[in-house]
Amino acid sequence: MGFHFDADSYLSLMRRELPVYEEIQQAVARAAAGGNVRRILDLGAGTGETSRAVLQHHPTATLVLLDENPGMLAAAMSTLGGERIEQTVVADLLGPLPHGPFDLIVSALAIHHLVGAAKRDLFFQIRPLLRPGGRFVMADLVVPVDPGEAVTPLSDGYDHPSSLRELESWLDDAGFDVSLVWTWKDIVVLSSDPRGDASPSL
Amino acid sequence: MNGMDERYRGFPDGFFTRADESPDDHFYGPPRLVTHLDEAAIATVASLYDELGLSGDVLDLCSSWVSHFRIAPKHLVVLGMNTAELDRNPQAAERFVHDLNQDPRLPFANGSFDAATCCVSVDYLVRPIEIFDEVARVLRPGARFVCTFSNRCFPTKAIRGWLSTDDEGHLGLVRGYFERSDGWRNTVARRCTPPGHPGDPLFAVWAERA
Repeated sequence: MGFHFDADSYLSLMRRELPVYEEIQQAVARAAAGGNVRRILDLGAGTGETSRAVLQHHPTATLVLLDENPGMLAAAMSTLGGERIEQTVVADLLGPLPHGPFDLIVSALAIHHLVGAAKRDLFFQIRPLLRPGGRFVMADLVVPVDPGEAVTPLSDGYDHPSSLRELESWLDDAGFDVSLVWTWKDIVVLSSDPRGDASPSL
Repeated sequence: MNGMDERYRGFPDGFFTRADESPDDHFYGPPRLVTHLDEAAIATVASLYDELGLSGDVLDLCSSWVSHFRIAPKHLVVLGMNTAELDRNPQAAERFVHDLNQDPRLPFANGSFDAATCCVSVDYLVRPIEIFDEVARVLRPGARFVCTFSNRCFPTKAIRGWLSTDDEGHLGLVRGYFERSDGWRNTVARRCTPPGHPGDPLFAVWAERA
């Protein structure tokens, strides 16, 4: 693992390589809208753009931001302002996750850095962190059915996109009902609601 | 087992169950060479070990590729779930692969150690009272057993009781493990990072072998 983006150049890189970068954030935010969301976990929070979009719909919610790059988290703190941030966690997605429960878990353009088995395992770890009625919204790169749609640049050994079908299957295995809510070429936004009782309560 | 040991009386049904009850060696089979705490929390663990004077023959339970001592003890024995992770632990003198949830008995003679540690793993123990009994058995009189933890975990493998309890509750729970098991005195529970600490918080509970 190791995603050593520089926070200052990250946004310009994303906007150059992903012409729909802003649309992705808004699609995540729309999927995350509604409900009484008090506590949000952002996995691979980067510079905080996804959380900023989500907070438009949940302005009083608090955030736990996880990213392996402390520089990114510092940028996110600047983007979001400290009062909405409960905790920043310097960690990667293979490690233990912050203590729940959360009403909403979001992740944008981060999970494709994990190989397939690790993605599946992460989905299993996410589910018990959600309160009943909670939601997991992820935006990410996929291997498209039509190879001509594979337009986002990849780095060998660094990006490990899976197919949409694989993501849906693993989320289903982990106990989520999955909806594809937005797509553009090789990017998807998935909204996943836990089936049954996701609460860890006794 | 829990249901047959009177010392578990008072815990709600299901407290020590997990979302993933498959054998732990499945989950812990692939090595995870990741840090489970951020740098500041790791430094806090090391400072606590220094403060408590953990040295000599030391047992690190539920260990991995790092044991967080600033200076390696004279003889550090690490016991964990994954051979590859333990092999990477540069401070270890001896390594044991052992699933404490399958068998809480420790493969050591009475009074073998001057200290024991368990860092960010007490939340995964499904038979903690028996394990704490065993740690007391293998420690020498006056030796400390130091449990440290933060607020992160693998939720499918942490006990449900941990997931449904907050930080203060975790401190009380681990204190309770010492008080319900045999052979301990002078239990201390401490929040090692201040409230509002921006990174991983760090908590510790320890006691002395009576």
